[in-house]
Amino acid sequence: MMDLNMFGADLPYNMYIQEEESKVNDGWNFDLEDYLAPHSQVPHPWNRQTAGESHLDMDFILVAEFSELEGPREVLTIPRGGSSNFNITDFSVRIMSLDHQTTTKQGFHLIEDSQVTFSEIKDSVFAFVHHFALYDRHARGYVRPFAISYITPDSRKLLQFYEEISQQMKKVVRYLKYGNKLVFKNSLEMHLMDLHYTKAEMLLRMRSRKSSHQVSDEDVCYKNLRTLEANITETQNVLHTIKLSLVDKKLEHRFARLEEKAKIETPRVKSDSWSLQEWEEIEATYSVSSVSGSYDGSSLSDNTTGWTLFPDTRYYRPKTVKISSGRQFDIHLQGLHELCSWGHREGMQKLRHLYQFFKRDMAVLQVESNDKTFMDPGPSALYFGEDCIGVNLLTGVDKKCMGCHCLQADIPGLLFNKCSSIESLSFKSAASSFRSVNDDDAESMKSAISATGSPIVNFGLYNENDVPNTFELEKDNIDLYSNNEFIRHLTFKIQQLDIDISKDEPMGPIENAEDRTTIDNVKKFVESFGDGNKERSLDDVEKLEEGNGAISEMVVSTSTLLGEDFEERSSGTSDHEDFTCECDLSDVETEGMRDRLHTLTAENVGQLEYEKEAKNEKEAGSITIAPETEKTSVLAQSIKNESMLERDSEGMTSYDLIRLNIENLIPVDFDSPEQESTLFPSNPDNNSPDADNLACGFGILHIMTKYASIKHVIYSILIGRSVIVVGTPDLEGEVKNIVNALKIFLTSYHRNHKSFIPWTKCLPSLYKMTDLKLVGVCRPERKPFDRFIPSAIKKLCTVFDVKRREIFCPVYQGYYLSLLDNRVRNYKMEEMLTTLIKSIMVEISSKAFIYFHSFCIGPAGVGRQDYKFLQQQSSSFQRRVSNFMAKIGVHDSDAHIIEFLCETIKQQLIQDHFQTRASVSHMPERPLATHNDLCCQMMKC
Amino acid sequence: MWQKLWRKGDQQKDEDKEVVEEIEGEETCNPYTELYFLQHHSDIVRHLLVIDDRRCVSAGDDGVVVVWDTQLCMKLSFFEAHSRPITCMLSIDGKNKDSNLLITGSSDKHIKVWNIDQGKCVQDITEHGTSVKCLLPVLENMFVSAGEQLHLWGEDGALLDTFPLDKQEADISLLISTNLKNERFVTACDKELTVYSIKDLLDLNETSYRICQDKRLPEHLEAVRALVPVSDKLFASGSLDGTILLWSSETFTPLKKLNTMADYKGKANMYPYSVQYIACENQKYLLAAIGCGFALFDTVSNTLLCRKVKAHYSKVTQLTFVCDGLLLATCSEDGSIRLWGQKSHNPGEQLAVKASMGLSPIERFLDINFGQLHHSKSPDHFPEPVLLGECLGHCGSVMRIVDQGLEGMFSCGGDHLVIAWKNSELQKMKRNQVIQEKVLNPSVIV
Repeated sequence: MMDLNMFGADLPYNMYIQEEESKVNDGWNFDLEDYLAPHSQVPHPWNRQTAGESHLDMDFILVAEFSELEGPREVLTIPRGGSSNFNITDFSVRIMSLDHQTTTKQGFHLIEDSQVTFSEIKDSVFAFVHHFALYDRHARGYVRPFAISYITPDSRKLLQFYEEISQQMKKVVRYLKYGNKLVFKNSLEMHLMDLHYTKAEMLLRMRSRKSSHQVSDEDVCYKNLRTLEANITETQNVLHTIKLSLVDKKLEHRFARLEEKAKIETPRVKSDSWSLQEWEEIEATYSVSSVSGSYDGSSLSDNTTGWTLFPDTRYYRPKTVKISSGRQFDIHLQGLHELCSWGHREGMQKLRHLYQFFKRDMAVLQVESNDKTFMDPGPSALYFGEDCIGVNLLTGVDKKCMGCHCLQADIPGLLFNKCSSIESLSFKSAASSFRSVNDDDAESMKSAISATGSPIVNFGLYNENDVPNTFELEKDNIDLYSNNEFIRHLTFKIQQLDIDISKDEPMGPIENAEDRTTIDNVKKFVESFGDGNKERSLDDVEKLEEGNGAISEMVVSTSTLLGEDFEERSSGTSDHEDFTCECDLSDVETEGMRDRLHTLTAENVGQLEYEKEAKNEKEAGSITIAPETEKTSVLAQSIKNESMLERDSEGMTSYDLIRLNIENLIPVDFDSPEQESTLFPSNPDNNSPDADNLACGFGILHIMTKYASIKHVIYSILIGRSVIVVGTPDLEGEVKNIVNALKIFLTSYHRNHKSFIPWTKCLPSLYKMTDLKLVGVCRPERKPFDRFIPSAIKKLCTVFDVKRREIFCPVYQGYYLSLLDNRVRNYKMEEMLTTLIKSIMVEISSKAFIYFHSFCIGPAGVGRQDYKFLQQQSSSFQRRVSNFMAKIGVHDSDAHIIEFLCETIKQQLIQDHFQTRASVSHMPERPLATHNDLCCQMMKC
Repeated sequence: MWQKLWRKGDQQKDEDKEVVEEIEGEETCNPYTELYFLQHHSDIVRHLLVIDDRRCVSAGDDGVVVVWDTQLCMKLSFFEAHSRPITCMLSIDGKNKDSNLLITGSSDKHIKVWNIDQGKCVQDITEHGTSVKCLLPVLENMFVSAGEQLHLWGEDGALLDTFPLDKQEADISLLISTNLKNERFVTACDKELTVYSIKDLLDLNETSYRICQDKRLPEHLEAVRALVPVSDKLFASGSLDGTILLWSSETFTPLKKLNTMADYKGKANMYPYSVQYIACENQKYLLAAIGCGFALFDTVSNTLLCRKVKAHYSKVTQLTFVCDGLLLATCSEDGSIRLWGQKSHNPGEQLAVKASMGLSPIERFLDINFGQLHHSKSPDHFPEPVLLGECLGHCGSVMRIVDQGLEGMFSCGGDHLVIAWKNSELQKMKRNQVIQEKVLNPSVIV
């Protein structure tokens, strides 16, 4: 049974690879054809619910309405179509039947929202429902009830994140309601004008008729006039109530800005901003003739009158209305987008963000919420590259477990113990004097959303983001990362599978048939690759095979982190019991936590396909997000099969412990729009597609193995010295790759300014070097190198001449980067190297943390004023710094790195301070350090 | 531009005799390890003026005056003052002494008075009529402006007197006052120096002022490029031919001729020994920027104390003592600022000794006290200053440098930039202080 299952798991994967192989020569097109995608619905790998008949298999958002014509009906779902085997109509009826309008007041009044949670334990469907009402002049009682529900199979998500979901829902509804109120107000105003106009007309007619003395008609007229009067008073009352509630000027301005922007753009683009499936409706409703009067076309085109939220009533030409005391119900009721105008656009956008954020697994959300503390306060966070926060200098200072969430406080220590035993992350020894900080190193790892908005996830068991990027890269035919690179990725995935399998045996390295089969399979299809790539890939396979004998060794040789986990597992896991952190979590919670973790790995792998899709979609300019379940990846399927096995086995022992360990290092992506906007201002006008496509730090392994003295360049980046990579036009690709790889070390990656340029035709001015830290420059062939680089640049910047393979820079003499340099050769996998880099960065950051708190903001950090000379003050400060650095075990060049990191944070803090102080209109300039005290050398590499 | 390149090339050919010193490797004596690029100007920045220990003002050919905070290195305010290049600036105290006034003159024929604290124009004087070349404060709260004519202005900007000059080919380019009361001043107009004084005439109950020409002094061989008061009794002038003349402020007779050159025109009339700038220290020492080098003279003993003939690749535009005289900074058209001092094997120890004694910058620079200085007669006694550091940051000629003590040094140049040169350790300390005081305890300052 097991055997069969395993094979079954690998079969589609095998097919996948073979199919890919056939395409190798056609330029690496990795888009899976439709017919290759598995047809059957792939169940969730580690789903907690047993596969029911019609259960809910994913989260979705449903907007439902109680239509006065049709009764409860669905308006839209996010994603489109909702969950495949879930009866939405039934559900709509159920949620809309909860009547929330409890008031018994007469006449028109504003209706309060209500939020309820709704659970159907039998079907394991849980929903958070937000009921609200929108106003429509044509609706019964002017009111149309709506409800937005977040529907999930995971009840804990609702319980754990009730506050967050509730808050976010309120925000969404705020947009909708405010937009709606504005629309309603406009419609009422127009209607009122119509009514007044009609009244005037009628009076005129009556006067003219009076002359003809038709008494019978007069009665009708008076009756009509009375109705009209009543209508006018009613409308005026409603308008009054509505106007009183329109107090949110901020939102109004926002809508006005949006409208202004849309007016500039072409109508085509404007209509694109409408969302999802209502597209058809929009088209349809635009053609519906306006129910009310029309605007004078002189100033505004017809097209704009339909949607403007801020019409100028002067241009409104009223028309007569049919007088009737009753209401018409056959009239076309407006769609949500018409009811809310810009509020709909904003609200839906927010709703989609909400979905993107909460649809992820509970465990991911939990880890994120733990890690979120690192983002705050923003200016004191130290970033490396685009997705690693080394440390936040002002976070968690008062906590017992400094600088981390306390949930897994003991794990890093565990990790480090393990890794020192396997000689993998041995830099711990140098830092052993500062255990308290060390222990938390790995936890401060964090990732966040990139500027483009796609989740960037790097630090984790599985680097899901790198793989699609590889695809992209290969598509671009950058020959440098040849097929080998891809195979490495593939083999990496395979190893993943193996690791998962081996986890099934809690007793450690035992040879068994299943594993053998897998390895053979792997070998088979790796062999089926082109001859050129064979050797290298086989190396990996060989390792796998060896590993079968002693699995722990195998893993260690390929990946440190996995290796540690594995060691942990194979060592018999007796320390499992000691594992709970003193500061947090009852046993029950831990249990729940573990439970959730079951889905984790599969989620990440499964996301692969989806990520790629989403990327393509984005490129196509569409907002629609495809449902991911439809095409769950083959990999996910295979892993899922393993998870079936896993469930059969012991289940909750060391395996979970490993998982728990892994969770510590799990990818985190922030989808929340607020964070995105505040911390990582998006940069839509980025005109270098290469830089966008490549993940930060991609190719670092290649660069580090190719150029011997690269550590000195890295050192330059880490002390804030601008690095200029110079290459002749034929080396453009290489220069770009170097810049892209080295980006991972940039500390100012996220800021508003761009801190790197992959390739430029002319050398930037020196004053730009305060912001630009990494520049690829094209040197014309005929211009000699020495004349191309002015002496000032040469003095203040590190220059890397790719053509001659020469570096002119300060020499690095220290521990951390040498360690990195020495380890590079041990790494075959780039993911692992980036992980190592990040862990080293975190290690360094932790030193910066101590330096900041114990030195900078203490009395020692402020100079004594009794020295008269600049040089005296300066040298006494230098002495104090070097004494302190020696105390915390930092020597030589490393001290400069730590000083720079601290200075970066200080500058960020000061800058933030000035930004938030409204009285100051100008900002202090950013400095450029000259590093006069460092001796620059020309080095071959 | 072409000429500059040409000149540079020419000079490099001359360097067979003496090569310009270069500095390699680490510069342990260079205290300026952090630089700030202060950007606002859109043309050559020619003037830099220190207002107080927190502020300095820059002005240039774009007609804009920018006030900079020298401690935080940020722009405080800017005035789009003139439509043509600003040619001269003058900082004076306001009427009630608590405000700083800045007077700017420009080739757009305007003189404007600014209140720096309030950041607004107080007066716009248009009666000058011609391009303004230089400004000088005279008597109390009055000032003289010069160009084609001499004008005397009251503190409220009222024109008090105009002195029409003879038909001359050149405008007055330099103005200095020669005595403490500021009532007598010397103008330099091409090769010629002229002495003027301001007389107050008491007419009934009103005082009126008048500019009177006192004396014309013997001409220089070439155009006068530098004019500086040395003491109450002495002033100095330097000219294109390299001559520095010392004049008595009482009799207005030449007392001494320093630095006479035989073949002063050099190759292709390049004037390689021209005097660009003279600064005075201790009322008796003259620091002169001569050609591509500099020299230090003693006006009492009339000796050359030390010199560096080839200090830069191009002409030295200005020089000043920085770090309390431990270093001499020279800036040049070659775009660099160089720091000169005495070589010592143990800078730390030397510094401690120097700090313990109340020495003047000259003593520190020459590493000798005045007592010893008076006894030594031969100029060979002092070694040639050594290049201790080079500040590279400008990508055009450096026009002016000013010293701000512990706040470092400021420079401006042809690349439209003002650069603040600071010590990174001091800046680190300052940042620590700011973080401690402001960021972490925001409640302290309200």
